[in-house]
Amino acid sequence: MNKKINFRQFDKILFLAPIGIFLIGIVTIYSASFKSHQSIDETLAMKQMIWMAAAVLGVFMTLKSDYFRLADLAWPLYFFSLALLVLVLFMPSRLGAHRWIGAASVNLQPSELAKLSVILVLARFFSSQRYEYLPREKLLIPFAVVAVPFLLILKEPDLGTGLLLIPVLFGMLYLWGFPTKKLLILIGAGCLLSPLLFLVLKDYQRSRLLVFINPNADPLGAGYTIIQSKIAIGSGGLFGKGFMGGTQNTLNFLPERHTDFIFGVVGEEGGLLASTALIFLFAVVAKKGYAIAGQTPDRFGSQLACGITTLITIQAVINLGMTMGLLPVVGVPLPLVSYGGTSVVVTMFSIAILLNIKLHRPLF
Amino acid sequence: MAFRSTGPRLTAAEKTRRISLVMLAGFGLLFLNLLRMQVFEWGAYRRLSEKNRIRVIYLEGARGRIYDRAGKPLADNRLSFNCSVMPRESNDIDETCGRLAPLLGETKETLLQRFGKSKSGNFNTVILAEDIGRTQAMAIEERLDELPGVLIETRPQREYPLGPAAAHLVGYIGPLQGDEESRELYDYSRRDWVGANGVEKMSEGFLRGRSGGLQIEVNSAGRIVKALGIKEPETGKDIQLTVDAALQSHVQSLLHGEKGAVIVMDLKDGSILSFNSSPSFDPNRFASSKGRKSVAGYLTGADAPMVDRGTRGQYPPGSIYKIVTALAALKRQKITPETQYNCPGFMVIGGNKFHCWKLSGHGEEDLTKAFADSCDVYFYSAGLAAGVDAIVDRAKMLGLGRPTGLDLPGERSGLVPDPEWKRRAKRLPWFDGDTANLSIGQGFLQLTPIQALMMISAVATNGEVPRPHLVEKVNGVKVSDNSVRHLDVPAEHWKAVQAGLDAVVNSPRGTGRLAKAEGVRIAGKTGTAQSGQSRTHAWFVGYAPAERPKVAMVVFLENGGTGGVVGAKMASNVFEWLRLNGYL
Repeated sequence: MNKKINFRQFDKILFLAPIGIFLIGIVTIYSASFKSHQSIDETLAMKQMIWMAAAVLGVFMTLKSDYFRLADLAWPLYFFSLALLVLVLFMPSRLGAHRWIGAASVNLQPSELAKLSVILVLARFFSSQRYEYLPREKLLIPFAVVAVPFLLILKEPDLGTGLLLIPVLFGMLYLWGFPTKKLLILIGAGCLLSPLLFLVLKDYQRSRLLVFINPNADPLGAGYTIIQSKIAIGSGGLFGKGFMGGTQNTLNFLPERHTDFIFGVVGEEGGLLASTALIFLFAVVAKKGYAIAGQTPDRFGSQLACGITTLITIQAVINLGMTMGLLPVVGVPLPLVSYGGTSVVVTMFSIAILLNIKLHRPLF
Repeated sequence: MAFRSTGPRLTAAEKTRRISLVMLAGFGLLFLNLLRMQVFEWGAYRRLSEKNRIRVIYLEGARGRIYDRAGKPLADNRLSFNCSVMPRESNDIDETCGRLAPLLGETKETLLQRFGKSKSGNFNTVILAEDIGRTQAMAIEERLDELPGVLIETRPQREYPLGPAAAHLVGYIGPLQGDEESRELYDYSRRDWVGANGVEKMSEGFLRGRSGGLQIEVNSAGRIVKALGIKEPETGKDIQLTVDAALQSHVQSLLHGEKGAVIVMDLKDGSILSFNSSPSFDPNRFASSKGRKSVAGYLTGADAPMVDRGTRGQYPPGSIYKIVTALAALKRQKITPETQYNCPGFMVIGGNKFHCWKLSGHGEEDLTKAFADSCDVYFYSAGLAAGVDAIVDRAKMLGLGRPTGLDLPGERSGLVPDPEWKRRAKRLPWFDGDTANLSIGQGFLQLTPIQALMMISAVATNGEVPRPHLVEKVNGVKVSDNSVRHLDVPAEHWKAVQAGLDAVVNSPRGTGRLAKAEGVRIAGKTGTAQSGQSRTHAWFVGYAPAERPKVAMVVFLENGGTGGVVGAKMASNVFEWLRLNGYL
């Protein structure tokens, strides 16, 4: 494994696109969480910057080491994150959910780590087994690997993060060689069974799904956020209302506007221009990520790249769809844009893995 | 088919390209949706975002104040608090009302009912409780966080410091009636209150404030962030009246709730010094919706407290009308002041016996004595000698039978009957008996107290009658019309009548001797008019000082008894007050 790294393989675009996304995010967080009496180093934007700086540093530090080592770390990391997911349930609840583990002033969101560890385990499993030769009973393993953290995350409750694991699993299954027909049947069955899921949901989750069908059913309750978010985006127009000029934002009409609904602020203050730029940058990440997955002959690297890219991309699609009122509100942050240290670090680490795969993949 | 043939044999590159395409298609759809929202539907969303943040708060323009001649307030504005709610901000009106009810001391149902009744627009506030106490307002203000959409609005509340004492004079305000069209014509809003009576109504054009509005930007909690624009409410113009608040109160207390009217006028320029009608009502109750719930008793009261007896009450004047009869007979030269008639206590006219009030008779009487004794027989004779046309002519000259033009709304004309009128109204010819009745102020004749006052003023001023008025200044600028109406009557006629009126009060047997007051010589005429009911109406008209008249007065007491007793006594008291306060 002591081969020379060809730095010409370093994907500058895949590195710069997330930075671009992040920059749009940082400006928006500043605007969305602005308090007049705050000095700049007290702002959430500054906190986010520090996390990002640490993450970027981490990206460069890990470039030298080989992503293959992650294969050995997969299972330990997986069980570690499962332990954290159990632990988090005993933490005092914040905003009505047990999602954070507090350590001094730093709050860790174990579900963010869990997503990545699930991908690692799946990549390791799919690279060491072939679908054609796998005993049928072992076919349950990848599903179980997803199901355990999925249920734990659901228990927090954090429906959105949990649901993200499903498209990631399906994407990796498809790449592995799982028959397309069976995959489609699975998706169909999932859709048919989803009403059952409805039964185990919390009341607030149910109402959020119901108002997705008709936001005006409860305009001041559960439907409020969707309506306000749509108004924010729509009223932004072509060029937006300008930095800190959004009335939906600055007058507090849009809830959760520096976290899950941050795209409302981007749309309102930056207009079609900034929104399109953001979507374009995410599309670049997706295109580059899947290209790496397709061009990496090593099956572990290929699966890993596919899982990571799917995770980032699907988060973006769901979040954007949800803020525009096209998808139900399930509580998924917009990667690198929404405020949240764990999410930024984990996402940048994922990007680092993608860059690493491209650098270190064995080229025969 | 396509899946089976290519599915299992696809390369990893092909598979990831397909996944990638699905994802990029997702981004593509998101972009198209953005295009729809931000470009094609931009206008609609823009409007929604404006609606989100902009509210209009109604600002009521304060009405002008009404002052008395010395600057004491007769109608003032006090800061009052309304508990209102912005329908848009209140997401659970039921709960909000439930929380407000104990704070306001009302039931939740009442509040909900008020909320339901209002038809305010989306951006306007709905008043849940009007004119709440300061402490209540504070208590609510402190708990606004639990009361989404609730706000305390301040508004000027009309207040009448004199209360019932000047109610008919000052009037009161009420919600604007009438249709949308006329409202718009005069630029009133649905919420405006207007003068409904008295000076408040008559001078509405000056007094009215123009309501304004405050366009504000609110945040999601409905809190004001900043004002976007303001249409300043305009305060109405202040009005100064000619009346003396102290005299006004004094007279009202003399009336003591009995039915009647007293009006005092300065002869120099026609300034009304006091204008009282009784029984009265409390105009403060009319000034708020809350108070208006307790006014039903006024509207249906047996004594008709709402009626301004001074300008709208029409009564037979009785003997005070003998002034007109005397002027008519003098004008026709049928009598001179020295002419004597014998009063045996009755007179036969047209086959009917017409009695003098003194059944034993007055004997030989000249004009002065006839006035002093108020001898009916003398005036039957004088009236018949002059003829009905002359009496009517003098009455019309003195301004009877038409409104005097006092600046109060709804003044009545009274009635001066003549043969033509009787033919039309009663389909009967005029008899000498009618002339006799008219001569002593009975029969069909009807006067308002203000007309009686103008009649006596003409005598007091030798026919140089000032215009009666209440409004002296508007915003400090004098607006009163000080013109004088000259009556074409020879000076000796006035002298003759004045001598009679002086004797009424100052001769030892004068019917109005109870009107005498300390330190000032008073002249006047009493009247005791048959009312058709058991008790007669009591009148007194007079002026003082008799030598150089400065003030004229009418006292009228409906079913009050005898003019020479109750009327004269009250006049005496008022003249006394006027002397003590430097008016005489």
